[in-house]
Amino acid sequence: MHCTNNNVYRIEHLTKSYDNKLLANDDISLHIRRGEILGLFGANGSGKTTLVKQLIGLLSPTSGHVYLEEKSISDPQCHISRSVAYQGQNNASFGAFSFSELMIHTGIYRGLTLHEAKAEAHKLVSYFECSKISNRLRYQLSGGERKLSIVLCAFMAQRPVVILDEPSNDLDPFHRGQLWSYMRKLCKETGVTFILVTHNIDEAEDLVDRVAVMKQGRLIACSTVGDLKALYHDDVTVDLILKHGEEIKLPADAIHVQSNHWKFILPKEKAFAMLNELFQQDGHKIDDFRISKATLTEAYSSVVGEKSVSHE
Amino acid sequence: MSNQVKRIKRALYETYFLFLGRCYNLRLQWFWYVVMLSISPLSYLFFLLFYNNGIQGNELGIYAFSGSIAASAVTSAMLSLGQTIGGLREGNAMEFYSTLPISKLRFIFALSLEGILFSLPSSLIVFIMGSLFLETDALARIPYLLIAYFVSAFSLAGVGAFIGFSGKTPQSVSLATQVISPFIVLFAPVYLPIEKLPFFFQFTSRFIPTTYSARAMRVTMGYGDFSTFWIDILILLGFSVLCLYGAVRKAKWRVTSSDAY
Repeated sequence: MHCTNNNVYRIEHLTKSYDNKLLANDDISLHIRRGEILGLFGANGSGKTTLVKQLIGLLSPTSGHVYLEEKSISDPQCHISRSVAYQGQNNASFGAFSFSELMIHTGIYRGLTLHEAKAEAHKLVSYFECSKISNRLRYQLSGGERKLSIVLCAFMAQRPVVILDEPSNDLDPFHRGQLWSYMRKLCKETGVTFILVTHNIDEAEDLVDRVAVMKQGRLIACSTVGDLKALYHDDVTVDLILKHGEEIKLPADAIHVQSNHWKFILPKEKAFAMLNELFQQDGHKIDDFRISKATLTEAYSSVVGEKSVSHE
Repeated sequence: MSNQVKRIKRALYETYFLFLGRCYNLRLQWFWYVVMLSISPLSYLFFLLFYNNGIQGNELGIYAFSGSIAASAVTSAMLSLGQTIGGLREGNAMEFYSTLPISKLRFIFALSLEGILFSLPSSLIVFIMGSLFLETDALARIPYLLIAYFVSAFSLAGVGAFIGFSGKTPQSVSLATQVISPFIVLFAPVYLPIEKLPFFFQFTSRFIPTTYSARAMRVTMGYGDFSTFWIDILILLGFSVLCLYGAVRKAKWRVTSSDAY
């Protein structure tokens, strides 16, 4: 990619509606910068997958434009598949391939020789410490292991842009950690641009450079993690855990997390005053409490107008 | 090495690995392939041989054996392509292929080869049986049979691919390919001489590749004028090119067409 422009993708007033008139993407404009990790967040059905499918040309927009390296993706000169690697939600397929074979074939389809593809697959298998399962057929693997092999395919024959659609779903914590660290490594060492669609917002907090939030087909926020969290700049989260079977009178905006666990998001000064009051009245009923700064999940929940309960 | 040679080498390399990837399915399904592809044509043959439909003597046998091989050849790739692409779309696996820089034509070609590979052995068995049963010298013409078989298989491969890419659901794709199959086999002079068909079908059968495939197969079995063989092959090649071109042009793959060829 020989382009001095800082944006890899330029999305202009992108709208996509399906046959049943469902508006999946509504007037989205967004620039994706070279070498950044962009987190694309939103509830199920908010239009994230529809958006990424238009970025890779699997769906054509109803109106608006997508430019990759300043070339419209509908332009025959725009070789999306040579510039962008995509990991979609096709975990159940390719049961007759072994874990490594799928990666090797992907490498070959992207232009590597068999020898090169084998060497790259071996490196990835070593990095993700999955050599024990590398020769097993995918239909014999667990859901998480199958997911890992599909995710690793996205890293074969490295592309300048990698789009990962919910890559960490089903992965165990170790491989999720390995995935985030490998992405950071690629980004730092080779300047790969990542578009990461995920629901694991708190885990992605340390990884992403910018966050784009979608709701009902619209892009409702796009900023750095810091800016998004600044919406809460004075707010803190108070987690309050009551002793088993105890009840106390709580403020109306308390969020019930589970059985005896409640959560409040409020300005710092108010948090201390509230805790003081609660301890004076019903301190013996409180088992534990915790005060923490707002997380990205809470900032995200605030933006989309949902009460956050995912802190745990 | 010139760029042209490199491109051809790369195309063959890619096609081989696409085909190899499809062949991995044999690891899981080999038994059912053997059952489906052996039992089905043989039972068809026995049906034709036991229920004489007005064609007497050696001619009946020729039409029965060559018709079975032609029907298998023409429908193998079409059915395989339609149903495989439909299945790949259902599991979102089509996204995997269509976001890679592979050629749509080579993808269709690899899937067609898969269909041919899985149908060819049973057709070869039928051919050898026919040759022995009818006491012809057809065994010496096996290379011609292979040529006719491959060209016949590709003659409607594009139709299978087009249906596979265009159908709304995998079920509708499967139904569409299965609905077409009897038409192209029974409304053409495959199991019967052309004179036995109603006048309307005598005319329409000229536009169905099975007509030419069946004639080529009959010639390889030693029935008819061999000089028509290469004409039939050329006509089948014409069908192949036309259908594949149409499929590559019209089938939905991704927005850009830059990787289509």
